[in-house]
Amino acid sequence: MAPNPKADLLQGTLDLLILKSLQNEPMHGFGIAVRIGQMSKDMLTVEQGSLYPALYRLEEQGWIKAEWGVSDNNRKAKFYSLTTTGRKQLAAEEQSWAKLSTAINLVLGNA
Amino acid sequence: MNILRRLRTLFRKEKLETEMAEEMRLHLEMQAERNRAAGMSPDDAHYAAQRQFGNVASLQEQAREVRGWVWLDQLRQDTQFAFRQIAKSPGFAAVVVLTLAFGIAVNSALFGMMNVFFLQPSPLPGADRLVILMHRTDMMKMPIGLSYPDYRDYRERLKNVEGLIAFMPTPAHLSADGAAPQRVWVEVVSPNAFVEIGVPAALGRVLVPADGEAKGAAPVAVLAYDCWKNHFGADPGMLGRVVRLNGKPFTVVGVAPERFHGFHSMIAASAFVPAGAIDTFRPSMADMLEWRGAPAWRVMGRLKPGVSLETARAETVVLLEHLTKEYPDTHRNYRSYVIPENRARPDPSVAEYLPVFAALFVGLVTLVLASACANVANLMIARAATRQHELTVRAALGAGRGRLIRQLLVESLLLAAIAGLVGWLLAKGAGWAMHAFSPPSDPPVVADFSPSWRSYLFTATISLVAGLASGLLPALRASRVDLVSRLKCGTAEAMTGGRHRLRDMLVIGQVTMSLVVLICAGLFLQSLRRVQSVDLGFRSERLLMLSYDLSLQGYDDNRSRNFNDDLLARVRAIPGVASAGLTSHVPFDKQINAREVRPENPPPQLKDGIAQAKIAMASPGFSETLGVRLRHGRGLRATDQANTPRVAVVNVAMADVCWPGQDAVGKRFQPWKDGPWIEVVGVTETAKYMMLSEPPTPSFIVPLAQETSAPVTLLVRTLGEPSPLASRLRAEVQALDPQLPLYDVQTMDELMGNSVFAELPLRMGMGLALVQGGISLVLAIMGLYAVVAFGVAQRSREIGIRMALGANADRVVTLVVKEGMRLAVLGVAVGVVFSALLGLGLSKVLFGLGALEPVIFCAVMLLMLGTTAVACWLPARRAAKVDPVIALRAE
Repeated sequence: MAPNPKADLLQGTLDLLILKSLQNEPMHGFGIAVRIGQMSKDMLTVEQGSLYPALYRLEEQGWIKAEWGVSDNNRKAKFYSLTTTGRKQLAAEEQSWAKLSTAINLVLGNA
Repeated sequence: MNILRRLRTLFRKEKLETEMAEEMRLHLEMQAERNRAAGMSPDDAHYAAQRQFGNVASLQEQAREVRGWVWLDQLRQDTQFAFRQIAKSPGFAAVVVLTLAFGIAVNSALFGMMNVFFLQPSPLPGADRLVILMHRTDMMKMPIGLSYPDYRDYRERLKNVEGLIAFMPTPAHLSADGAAPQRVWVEVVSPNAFVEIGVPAALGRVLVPADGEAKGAAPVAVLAYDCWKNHFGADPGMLGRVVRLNGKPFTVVGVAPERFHGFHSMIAASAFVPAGAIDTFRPSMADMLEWRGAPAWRVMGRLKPGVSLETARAETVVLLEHLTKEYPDTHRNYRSYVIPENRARPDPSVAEYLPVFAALFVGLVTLVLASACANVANLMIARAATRQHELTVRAALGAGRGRLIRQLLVESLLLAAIAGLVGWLLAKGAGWAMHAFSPPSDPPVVADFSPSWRSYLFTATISLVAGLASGLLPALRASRVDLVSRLKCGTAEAMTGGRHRLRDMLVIGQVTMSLVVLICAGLFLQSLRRVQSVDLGFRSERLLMLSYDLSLQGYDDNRSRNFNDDLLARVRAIPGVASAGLTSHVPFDKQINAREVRPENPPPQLKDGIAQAKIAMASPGFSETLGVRLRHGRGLRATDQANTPRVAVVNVAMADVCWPGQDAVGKRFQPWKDGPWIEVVGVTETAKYMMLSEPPTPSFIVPLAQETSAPVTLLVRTLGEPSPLASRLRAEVQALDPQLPLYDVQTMDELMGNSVFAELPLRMGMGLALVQGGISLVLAIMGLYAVVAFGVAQRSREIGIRMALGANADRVVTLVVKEGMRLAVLGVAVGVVFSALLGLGLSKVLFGLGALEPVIFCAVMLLMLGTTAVACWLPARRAAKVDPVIALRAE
C-alpha cells in the first residue's frame, strides 16, 4: 500500500487539528471527529477512521495520553488528553502553521 | 524514551490490539447512534457509519505500523514459512545445507588453527606484552635460543623488557614409587619464572628465585595439573613426596594451575624444575648454566608499559653488540630477534614460515566457500523459477518487493544457519578425530578443545555471509514479479533475457571455479610427486624407526654402549630385517645438531677457516641401512672404538666446502675450537636432512662409540612391509630393559608424510582442493545440465518448428550442445586465466613447480570440457526426441 501523497499533507495538519481539539478538555476519538467538523464549520470532513492511526502516533510520541473512561451517554470510551510536551508541541505547531500560511499568502498575494 | 515506549508496546501487544478493536467498534456504534438520531433506519445507520469510518482492516494495519514492531511480526511469519518450505522440500534443503556446510566447515577448521596460532591470547597473565627473545646466526636457517649466561646478561641489562625468564622444554623419564618410567616433557626454568609471569600454585607452592639458578640447587619440582591428575590421581598427598626424574629423586613442592601447560605455547609439560637443579636432573646438561656456547634456552619477557617493540628491539641489538665484543667465539655473526609472543607459535624457530602457509590456506578455503555459495545461488535461482506462481499471488495480495525479498532472504539465511551448525560440528568432529586417532606426538602438544568465542563468532559470521552471498541475487531476481503477464500466462513463460543471463553467468562462474580449484589440486599433486621423487640421497622405503633415550633411564656411557650393541645384534638376527643401525639424528628429525668445524689447511675462501656442518652420531651399518651411497673410502666400522683414532664419514657437500678439488679421505678436521683431530675415512652422497628444498648441506657422522649420544633412533630396513615388524622390535627392546619407554615408532614414509617440512602441507592442500574441486565439478555439471535442459523445455516450440521444417535430430542436438558448450568454454577460458595467475603464485611457494604446468592445465581443461559436453549432450538428446506435433500444439 503506497502512501497517498495527499494523505501525507493531511497527516501533518491532522496532527495539529487533533492537538488543537484536545486543548481544552480530554475527548474520545469520536468526539474529536465531531469537534473538528464543528470547529471548521463542516468545511473539513476527515475520514473518521484515519483519526486512530494519527492518535496512536501522537501517543507514541508522547504528546497525548490515553485513559479508559465513561462518556456522557454512559458508554465506555478511551479518552485522550494533552500532555505538557503536547501543549508545547501544539504551541510550536500553531506558530509554524501561522508562519507557513503567511508565507504562502505573501506569495499568492504577490503573484 | 521513544525506544522504551516501543518496547512497552511490544509487551502489551495483545492488550493494545483488543483495545484498538474495541475502540473502533465503540466509535462505529456512536456514529451509528447519531445516524439513527438523524432519522436513518438502523441498518442504514450502521452502513453509513462504516462508510464514514473507512476501511477498518486497513486502518488497523496502519495503526499497527504506527506502533512499530510490525517488521518483527513479519519476521516471525517469514521464519515460520521458511521452516515449512524446508520441510516441504527436504531434498533441496539437504543439498544446499551440505554444500554450504562443507565450505563453512573448512573455513571454521582453518580459523580454529589460525586462532590457536595467531589470535588467541596466551593464557599467561599480561599476554599482550609478552615477547620472545632469540638469536639468529648464519649457521642455522632458523632462529636459535639463548645461552643461560646470555640470558642473565639480558635480564640484568635490558631496561625496556622486564620479567625476563628462561625455559627449556626437554624430555625426561618420570616415575614414582617404583612404577615403570614414562617418557614426558619437563620444562627446566629459571627459578623466577612463575613469579615473574604471575602463575600461582594450585597446591603447595610454585618455584621461587630462592630455588636457585646455580649448580647444586636442591632437586625440587612442581607438577603440572594434568600430570598430577592423570599420573598421580590428583592425590593431595603428593606434596612433599619424592618422584624420580631420569632416575633421580625430586621432591614435589607444588602443583601448577589447571589451565597452565607450561611457558612454551604449544608443548604440554608435565613438570617444572629450577635451572639450578639441572645437574641432578641431567648431569650431561650441567654445563648449560655456564657455557655461553649452548643456545638452548627460550627467553620470554614483558615489554615495559609504554615501550614499543621497536624500542626493545633496538636495545637488544646494542646489547648483543656488547656481548659479541666480550665473547666473540660464541657469538659469531649473531643477530638479535625479538618477536611478540603471539607471533612465536607453534615454536619461535618455525614461526616465520607460518604466515606463508596461512595465506595459502586462507586463499584456498575462501575459494572453497565462494564456490559453494555460487553453487547454492544457482540452485536457488533454479528453484525460484518453480515458485513463480506463489510469489505472484503474494505480490497480488499486496506484498511489496521488499517484503518478498525479505522472505526469500530469511529462507536463505535459515538454510545458511543450519549449514553453519552442521559445518561447525563437522569441523569440530574432524579436529577431534584427528587428535584421537593420531599417534601421541613427541613432544606432546597442548590440545585445548574448549570452545572459544572467536570460533563461534567466526562461524556465525561466515554462515551469515554465505547465506547472503548465495541468497541475495536469487531473491532480487525472483522478487521481480511482473503481475499482469504472470497471472495471465500461468506457468513459466515470458522470461526476460536478464533472467537467462544471470543463470548463464552463474554457470560460467561455477565452471570457472571448478577449473581453478581442480587445477590447484593438480598443482599440489604435481608438487607432491616432485617432492616424492626428489633424490633424497637415501632410500626412504621400508624403513622402520623407533627411538629411546638411555640417558634419561640412568645408564652411564658403558652401559649404554653395551645396550646398543646388544640390541643391534638381536635386531639384525630377526628374519625380515635386511639391515639395522643406530643414529642420533634421522633425516627430517625434529632436532639437528651442528658444529663449527675447522678443517686442517682450510681453503682460502673458507671464512675464518670455519665451516658449519651438521653432525650425527651413528653405529656401524647406519649409512648402509639408510641407503646413503658411499663414494670413496669406507663407512663406519665396529673397529672404530673409543680407544681407536677418531674418524668420521663426511658428505660430498662438506668435502667440497672444506677440501675443494681434493679427495677428502685422509684429511683431518677439528669439530670445535681446539677439539680433537678427526680423520675422514669416507665420503657419502649428500642427502636431504631437514627440508626437501634445502641446498646441499655439509654434514658428517662419527661413531657412537667415540661420541656417545642419547637419544638414539633405531633404524631398520625390512625386507617386506615394515609396520608388522614394529611389535617385534619393541619386544627386543623390552627383552633388554622392560621399563625403557619408547617413542616415535614410525616408518620413514610416515615421518615424511607427516612432516611439515616434507609432505604434509602438500597432502593437506591437495586433499582439500580435490574434495572441493570434485564437489564444484559435480555441481557445475548439474548447473549446466539444468540450464541446458531448461532451455530445451523453453524452446520446445521452436524445436518442433525446426523439425517440422525438416531439421533432423542431429542438427537439433548440435544446436543445443553448441549453446551449452558456449557457456562451458567461456568458463574454462576465464578459469585458465585465473589458474595461470594462481600457478604463478604457487610456483613461488610450492616445491618443484614451474611457472606453467601445461600437462596439468591441459588435463584438467580436457576433463572439464569432456564432462560439460556430456552435461549438454544428455538434455540435447531429449530435445531431439521432441515430437513436432506435440510441441507445436502445446501452449
